[in-house]
Amino acid sequence: MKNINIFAIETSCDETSCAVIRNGKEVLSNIVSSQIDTHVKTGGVVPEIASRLHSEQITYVIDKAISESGLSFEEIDAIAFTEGPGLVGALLVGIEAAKTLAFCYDKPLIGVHHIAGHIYANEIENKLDFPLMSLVVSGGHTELIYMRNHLDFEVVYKTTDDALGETFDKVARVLRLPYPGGPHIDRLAKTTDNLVDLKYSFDESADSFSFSGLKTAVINYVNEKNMKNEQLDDAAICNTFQNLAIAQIVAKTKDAIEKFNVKQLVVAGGVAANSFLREQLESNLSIDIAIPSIKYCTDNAVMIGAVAYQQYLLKDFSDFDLNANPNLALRKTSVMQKSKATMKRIPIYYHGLRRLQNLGVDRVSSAELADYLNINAPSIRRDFSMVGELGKQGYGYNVDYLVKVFRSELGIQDTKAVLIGVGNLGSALINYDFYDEFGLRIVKAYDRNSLIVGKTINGVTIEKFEENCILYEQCDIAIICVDSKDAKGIVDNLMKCGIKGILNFTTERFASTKKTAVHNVDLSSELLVLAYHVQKMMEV
Amino acid sequence: MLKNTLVVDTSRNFILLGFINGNEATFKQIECGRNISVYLLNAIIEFLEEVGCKKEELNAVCCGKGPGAFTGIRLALSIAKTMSYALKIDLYSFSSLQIYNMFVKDRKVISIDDARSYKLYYGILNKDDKTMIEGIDEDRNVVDICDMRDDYKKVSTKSFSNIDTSLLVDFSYFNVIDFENIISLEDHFTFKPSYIKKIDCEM
Repeated sequence: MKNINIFAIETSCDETSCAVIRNGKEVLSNIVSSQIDTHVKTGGVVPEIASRLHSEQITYVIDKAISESGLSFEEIDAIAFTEGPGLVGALLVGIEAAKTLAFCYDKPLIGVHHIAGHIYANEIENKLDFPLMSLVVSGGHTELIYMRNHLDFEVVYKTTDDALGETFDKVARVLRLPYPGGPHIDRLAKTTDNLVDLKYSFDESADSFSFSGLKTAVINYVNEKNMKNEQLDDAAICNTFQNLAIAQIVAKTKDAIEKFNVKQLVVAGGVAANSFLREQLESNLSIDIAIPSIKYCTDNAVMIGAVAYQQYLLKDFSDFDLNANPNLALRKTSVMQKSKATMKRIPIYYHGLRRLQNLGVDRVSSAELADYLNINAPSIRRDFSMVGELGKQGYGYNVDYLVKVFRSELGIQDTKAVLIGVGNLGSALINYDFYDEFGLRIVKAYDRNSLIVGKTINGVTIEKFEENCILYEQCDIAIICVDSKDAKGIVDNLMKCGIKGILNFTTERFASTKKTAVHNVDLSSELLVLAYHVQKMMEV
Repeated sequence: MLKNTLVVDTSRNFILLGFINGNEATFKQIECGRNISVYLLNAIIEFLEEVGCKKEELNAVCCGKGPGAFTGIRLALSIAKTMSYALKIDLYSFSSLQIYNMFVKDRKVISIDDARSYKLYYGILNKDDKTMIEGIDEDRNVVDICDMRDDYKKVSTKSFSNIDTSLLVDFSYFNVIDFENIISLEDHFTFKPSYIKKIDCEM
């Protein structure tokens, strides 16, 4: 298999970094020119100063990265860069350099989300094991991000005010500790077991992080002591602050891990270097935890290259008119970035290819597919090239492979469902093969009727129903075919347990919530509507 | 003599592109508001196509080093430095004030530009004795400088209430020999903008 070499540039904040990474894992070079000495003098990052330093360093760093990699630009497959979020002036220096390299060497260009980079820093030394939860803690971000697969990001918890790293820096400034404050607080906190009373506790029930209250508590404590001319115990303040801040991180992370039933916790961002955070996560969570080594915790271009490799595989390339986006949102790549016209055709391709698969066709050319689907061949070839390298010239496309690819594009994954109520309709549903067409599998079935409990239908053994979240473990969707009078209690319980989708076959109607999508299918109403239309037709 | 040379300046809220080959020069101004980054590289690519020069045929790139909008200056600089490095071509710099003195017929010119915060940049050029002075008026001395140089044409791409400037910029007055007097050869590794104006933390 051909090696894919990515040249990556990162200039989102105060490190000018370039790297060459092979196949998303093998680091051939990683040059980081830190501006920390300059920013120590100003007590923080001054955006204009950061941009100026990037502008001065960029060409030198590019040259050093390619030289150390032992490759030439001709051997590079794509140029990647941080698109955002970050300081706009700083981002632009890297973006223009990346665009120019792509233009001069005729290479594809890949814009990468900075936070995705921090998450993928883990892919260098570990292996991302999906589904996973990523805890991103840095100077600008404090988020928990759920990932079902590569480049599939869902922000589930975020901070409502300050980021954790920002809070560390602000508290350090109050205590007159040097910039950046995080390492100094971490170091001082280790020197004591003493605690001070900050009169602060965090909201355990909130679905978000918040650190401004803690920061204010420290400021108020310090001001009060200063007004009374009392000696400050810096180490004890650091110890208390760090304990409270990390306790919040650990509690919310634990909560998210349990809710989303993930295989791995991936820690990312500059604050992942905090030794107390590492220690607390490891001692409080019983899950595989991946934390990058210190050199990959801070900003670096290797992590940008690691994400870019995944985007390269999807041919998720950027144009030369791309601008810096300081507030770029993290979202699912791939399908989201294709044109609306392509997106509309993907389901048509999928169903058409499934029909061909059922007819025993194993290979198809774009011209044959064009005839079969009534879509012109150039559109098919362009759409397919957006998805990836799917075919070979002179051979055509492998139907099984295409079905697999489009299935993934449409998000038809292995979705597990729980069935509640195994009457006539429920039994019929268990017997129907949803998996082949929709990737949905009924893996659990429950009923209250003891005459049915214990029976096995289509490989699923019916169990006794009780209102317990354990019943829905590992299932994203619940199908309910119970008596309408029982529906409300069951739906409430399902929502409380965090089920993501409900297909409701009862005559009761339920509204979707922020976390649970509900689809009501009332067969009796549908029949009444149909009967009305039939009646009308007969009258005509 | 400059051959197959791209000229680029983004110190103001538009893109100035030029192409010089021997005594021939072509210039173009592209209005793009604050989104220079969106248009710049594509504008350069289209411009090179218009003048019939492939990137492999470029001999040099000349970049406006400021003063002007800080972020704007760095856009052209980032592209010019990288182009010089990647295509292995010469990199020249010129003052973003003096380039506008090239587009007037007069031999003695003062180019004036808005430096915001009630300040102005000025670039004085005598094309005959090749003297160049650039600066920023910290205490409104541009008016004095202009008054002292009655025989100098004052030009700007903007109008100012207290100085009589000509808004006419005519690319046909561009003279390659005069331009060669205002450019300096740079090293793409060490080339820095000339901001002139200080920012708060430098004061």
